[in-house]
Amino acid sequence: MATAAYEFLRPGTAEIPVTGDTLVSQSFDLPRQVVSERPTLEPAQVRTAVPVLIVGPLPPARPEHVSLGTLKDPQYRLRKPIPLDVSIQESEVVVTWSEIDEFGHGETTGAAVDDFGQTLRELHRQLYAPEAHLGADLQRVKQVLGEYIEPRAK
Amino acid sequence: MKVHEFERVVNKLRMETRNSSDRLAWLVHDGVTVVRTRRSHGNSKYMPEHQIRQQLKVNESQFAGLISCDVTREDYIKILTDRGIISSKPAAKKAPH
Repeated sequence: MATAAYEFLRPGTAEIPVTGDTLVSQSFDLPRQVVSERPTLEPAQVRTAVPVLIVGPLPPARPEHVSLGTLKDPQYRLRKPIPLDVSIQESEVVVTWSEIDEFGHGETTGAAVDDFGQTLRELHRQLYAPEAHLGADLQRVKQVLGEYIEPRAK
Repeated sequence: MKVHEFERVVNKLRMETRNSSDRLAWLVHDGVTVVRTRRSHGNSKYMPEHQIRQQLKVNESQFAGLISCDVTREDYIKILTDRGIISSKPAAKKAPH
């Protein structure tokens, strides 16, 4: 059976003498650390680990909302993040931007967001095409897109 | 929603289509693009019916009618007109230069 001894040490202290008004570069040996009194714990101070069973629903692994921060396209830059609602439909992840009724979907949240980003780039190109003649609702969609997406200068 | 149902709606409404990374569909009325929707390529790909319905600006019964042929293109144009998606005023003609 192995035994081990230990002791608690306190740092030693020493006064640094003041030598006149001028700063003097001087070195001192640190005093040796000294042994402190062995601490004793009262029964009330002793804490024991108690297993805790958490009853209730765990937080969902998949968030209900995500923000799209980049379009993964060098031609476009997002002015601000796009808020997306995340839902599961027939084991497929669907992300929706309800403000313009646009969506993306995939097997995972990441795949759905990627699909959404690709769709959004395509939609931006279509709506901002010079020949586009849009109805009132698509004009509104175009305006919303313009608030979020900015083409990069070539 | 199945692919053939989506295509039935697109054909019935005589929507313009283009194959990109997805199959894009646009309804053009009197030269004005009024609604758009899309689906993924491939017959086995999932299609989020609720989101497609939202893009087409119809309620559930109207959407069911579009799929089942109860709602015609003319009916659909009237639905969009009633909802203000299509302007009831005729498009203003450009003045000749």
